[in-house]
Amino acid sequence: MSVLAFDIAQFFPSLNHVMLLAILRKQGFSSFMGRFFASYLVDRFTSYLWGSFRSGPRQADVGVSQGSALSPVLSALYIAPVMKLYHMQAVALKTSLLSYVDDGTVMAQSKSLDENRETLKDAYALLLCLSVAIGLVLEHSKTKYFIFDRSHSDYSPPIDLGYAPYTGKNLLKPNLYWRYLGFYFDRILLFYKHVRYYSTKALSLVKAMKMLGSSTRGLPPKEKCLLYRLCVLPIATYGYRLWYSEGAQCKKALSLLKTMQRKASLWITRAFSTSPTGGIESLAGLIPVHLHLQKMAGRANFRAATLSDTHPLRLILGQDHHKGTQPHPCAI
Amino acid sequence: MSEAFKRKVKGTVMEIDRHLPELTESFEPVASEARPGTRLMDRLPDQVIFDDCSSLLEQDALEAHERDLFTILRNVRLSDDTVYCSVDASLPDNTQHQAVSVAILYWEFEEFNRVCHVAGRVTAPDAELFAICSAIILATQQDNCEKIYIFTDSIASARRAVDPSLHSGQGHSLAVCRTLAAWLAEDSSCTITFIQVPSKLEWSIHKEAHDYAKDLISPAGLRPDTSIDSVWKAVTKRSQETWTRMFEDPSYKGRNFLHLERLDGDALKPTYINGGVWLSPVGDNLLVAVRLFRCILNHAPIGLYYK
Repeated sequence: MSVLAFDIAQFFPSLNHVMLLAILRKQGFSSFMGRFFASYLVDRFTSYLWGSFRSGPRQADVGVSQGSALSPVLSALYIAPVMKLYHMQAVALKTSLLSYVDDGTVMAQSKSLDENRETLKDAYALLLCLSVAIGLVLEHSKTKYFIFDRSHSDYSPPIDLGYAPYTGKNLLKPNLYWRYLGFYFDRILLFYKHVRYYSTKALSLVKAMKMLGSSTRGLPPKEKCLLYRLCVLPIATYGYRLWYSEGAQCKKALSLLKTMQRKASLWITRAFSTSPTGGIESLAGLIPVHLHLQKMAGRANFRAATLSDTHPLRLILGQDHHKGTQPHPCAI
Repeated sequence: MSEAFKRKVKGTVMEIDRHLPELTESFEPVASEARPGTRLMDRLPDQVIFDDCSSLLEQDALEAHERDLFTILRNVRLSDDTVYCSVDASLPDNTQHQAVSVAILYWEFEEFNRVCHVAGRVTAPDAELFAICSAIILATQQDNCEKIYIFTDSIASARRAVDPSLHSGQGHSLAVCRTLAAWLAEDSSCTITFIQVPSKLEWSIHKEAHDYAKDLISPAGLRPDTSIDSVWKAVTKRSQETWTRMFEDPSYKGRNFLHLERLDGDALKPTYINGGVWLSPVGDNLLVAVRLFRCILNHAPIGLYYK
């Protein structure tokens, strides 16, 4: 599988109001809603406050404001026609387009990486046409290219996007790791890099926490245990559902987390540095990491039942869980 | 995807698909009753009353509460517009049986209805919630009823019964909210009162419900109902048991780990609740804790020891 991750330049500020209102009208929202958003978006003013100084009103009439509660919804509605038109026009390309606010990805799946490359090139050109039509600008220099392949070959053909700077002799080469929403994806999806990144982060946190207490002064052990469970474990296990499941090969990843937990339990109990791991873990009241993950994963499985009927995760599950809604084409 | 292929594929989504049928409960994440502003407790907070006694730990306070309960019971028996119910649940101590929820309804001095439901393999608050739900639905169907009194030993379940948000037993809560919203809106003088009866009091009508629940022993069958809390509890229990088994192995805990026992002779088992078995009694005193831990581990590297 090959993936092209693209970035939309200045996404929130660049949304066009006239276009947004037209899209809302076209999507069937009532004229009352249209008028509300027209008043909400157009002719906005902002003033800055610094101590006792207050600036005069300045026009803040660009796009939707960053950090506003309505912005993600409005931007999703804005980008929806692009996705719809793309799906209508790119049927022959057999690619899928995903987008998380302004982080978009095009994926191509086939047996051959060269074939994927050609498909992605066409898909990118089409996407660019659609974005320009709606008033959005793609930043070509921030476009990234990744290859996911479970075979042992390291063949990674570069791609000629056809737009500067990735054209002619300067081809876009695939990256080794892809950081998306804080997850590190590697070529064979083993997520070792991801676990290494987060366990190192947690370990440095444990080392930094040493200044909070020694064996004679500082925090009492109960507080240390609480601190570790609240502030370190959630960082270390971030995104564990990607790599931890029943029967997954994660011995190497788990050993990193075990090392981290051993350091933490040594800090909590202040036992000698060569004490047996199991003993200090039990004294510190920390369940072994693999059992902790097993518990969290087991509990998370059932949380899918609390999702709404049209949630994407529910739609890709087996037919018993769709509750009458249209399942995803890739449903199991 | 064929069944044979499904078995070969591993991953999180496959795991969810495999385990989700173990949970029989269904939820309404966006129920209209749970919308802020239209919730039962937002609209009619004055007509739902909770009589809480969670702070009653001493014997004197309990006896005073029991006297209050008898006063309330006398008053509700004398009034002719009040239905009072006693609810309880019974949980089996093995996995072959399932929980039972019981509600007994009274009008003046007479008992006029009693129901007993099998609640499935659920936790105690879920079974109690089911009992409260069936009591409320039956009581609101009674003509000329303006006040409902519910005697329960779990006030937390009573609070859950009027909370329509996403939680274990949400279906029962939604049923309660729908019924009560219609019933309370009819007349502003209608009220419902939840009164806590600690089960150790073994008090009058609550004892009757308790005994009735204990009488029915229902086998679990092949596929009993489960709630999300009960399946979560089972997962947690499984991990905890694996840890306990691991702890029995000296190569895990260390060969010189000091064997300690409880007063009743049971060996100490590791747990992570409230800081663990060893940490919770001494966890606030740093010096004592460190000495204790080093003694229990009985381990010192030679180099460090001579330093």
